[in-house]
Amino acid sequence: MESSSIMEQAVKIDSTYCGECINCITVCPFEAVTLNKDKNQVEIDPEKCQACGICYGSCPSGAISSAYYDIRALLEQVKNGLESGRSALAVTCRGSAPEPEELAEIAGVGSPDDLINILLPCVGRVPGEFYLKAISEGVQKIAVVPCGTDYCRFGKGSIVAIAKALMLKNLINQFGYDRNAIIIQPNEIKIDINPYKCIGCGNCEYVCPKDAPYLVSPGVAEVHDEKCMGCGRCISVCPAFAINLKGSDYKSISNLIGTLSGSTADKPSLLVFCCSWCEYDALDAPITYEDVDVKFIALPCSGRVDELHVLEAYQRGFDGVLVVSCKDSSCRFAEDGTAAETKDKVRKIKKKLDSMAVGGERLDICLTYPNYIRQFEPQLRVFADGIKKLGKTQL
Amino acid sequence: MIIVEQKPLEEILGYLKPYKKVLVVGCDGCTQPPRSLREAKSMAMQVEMGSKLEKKDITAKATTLVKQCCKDSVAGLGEMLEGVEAIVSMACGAGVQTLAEAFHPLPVFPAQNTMFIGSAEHNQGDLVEKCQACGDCLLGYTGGICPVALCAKGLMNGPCGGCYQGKCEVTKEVTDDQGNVTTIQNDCAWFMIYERLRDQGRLDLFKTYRPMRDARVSSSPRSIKWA
Repeated sequence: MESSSIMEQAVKIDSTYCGECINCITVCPFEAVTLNKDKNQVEIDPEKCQACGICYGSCPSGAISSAYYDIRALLEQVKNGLESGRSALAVTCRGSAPEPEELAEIAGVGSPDDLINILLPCVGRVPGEFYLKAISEGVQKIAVVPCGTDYCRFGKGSIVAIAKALMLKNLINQFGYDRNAIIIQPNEIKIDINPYKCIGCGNCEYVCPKDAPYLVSPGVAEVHDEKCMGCGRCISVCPAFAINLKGSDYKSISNLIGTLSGSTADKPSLLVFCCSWCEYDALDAPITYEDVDVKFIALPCSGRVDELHVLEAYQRGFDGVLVVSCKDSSCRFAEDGTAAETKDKVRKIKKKLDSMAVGGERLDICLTYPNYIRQFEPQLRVFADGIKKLGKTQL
Repeated sequence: MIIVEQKPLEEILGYLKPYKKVLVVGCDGCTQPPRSLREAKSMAMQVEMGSKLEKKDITAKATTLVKQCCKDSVAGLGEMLEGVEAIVSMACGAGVQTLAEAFHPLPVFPAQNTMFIGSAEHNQGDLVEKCQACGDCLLGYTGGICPVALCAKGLMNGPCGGCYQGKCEVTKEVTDDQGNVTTIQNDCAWFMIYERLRDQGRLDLFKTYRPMRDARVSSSPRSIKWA
């Protein structure tokens, strides 16, 4: 699917405010920010930019603007939370968010209901100013939960986030606040393999882009923990359901499909399996249409898309399934990208659907990336229109 | 590994026409690509949704066995079989036959075509034939490359005149799952054997004449005394 809308950059720099301190050039993990010596201007290359927002969080003069999670939007969330009686704030990375109960424990509050939970793709994008403003608004405690430093999907995000939070800890202490008002607790979500279920087929070893799983005699796979980045690609090919990844294992996604399908009304319904890193808006505030029901499931990577889940979606009453994947060059896990592999997987499932009472046209893949804004919605609309025309399945 | 390939769903549904309750049985054994619980579950869903196309309503359950070709381990299927009218096996031909014998008169249908004994060329994602189970292993003389499986003519002494720049004169047209036809020209097995033995400094073996293979050891049906 191709989108026809005008491309607008997500992260922009306004040279009027830029003081050329080159903070942004130093922190950019993708060498997308450069100093144009002829014009004496700092520029962002939209093709290299991965919209991680780390430069936005590091700009001291507010010259960089981000279409996602800017300080105003974040503070709005905090204010709304405070108004509904919540007192503590948790800023977590989407790639390593702990369970709500676990998060409440980290923040030192009784229940997850006391937390204002802000889920971000990379904590490194949050400007230090935000934490200070949140405290001045009346937040009692802030739990900063980035990924571990080697686990950051954007390379430098966790280091920046942790350094910033440590500095702020000292700063607020000098202002007379308790040092522990800011808690830093890096978290990582990695696979573990159940040796009693593993049949030693080696599929995981083959598909892992980081070479984390490996086979040992007698026929069981083990994991190099430090290498695993939690994409979950291995889970989607494990024939014995031996691999677990918190929140993305077979059963929890399967249960989620069950709950989401429960609300399916008479109109056609769509299920979108969306990579957490290629579309932000739709996952934060799911798109709704009047004529078509759309439900979202966030996956750690489009490589986690599981044939069984797709088939299950149709069985549970969904009429169309859309897989959303990053473009090849932007994959957060594999250098050579996941898109080609996911496309191949989708093509194979489509072929199977053709010989069932579903039809391959009810499954599609859409490639997008947040470095340009509003790229995804038009593509979703096109797919939704297609499904509307096909109507409900015969199942 | 025993290399298998899934049959078209239409064929499997054809077998299952008279039945309504089906059990799909995976195999954790040597089938490649693996055909364990995941594939059995997928097959069960495909059968259920495929049957709707013919306005039928098959219910399919899925389970798996450690080794379908082991008579002792298939007995564990017992309670899963309650009310089941037919079994679909995801294993190789040996597994299908073991199940069919163990659960006679319940019909057992294959979901796979058993292709060959081979290995995975992981860098290309291909599965290639390595062994024909001829019963008279030559690999000790040929540098670990089998001319029976890899030479198109199965020559005992090679290469023949059809070897050109290391490639075999026999070509094969292969259609992939997208319908693209490609002509495959395999490497000459005897050229590879020559190179391997040369590198190992054992070229004298290459010059030794090998008589015809004893076909009697591979005349079907074969059996050996194991214990």
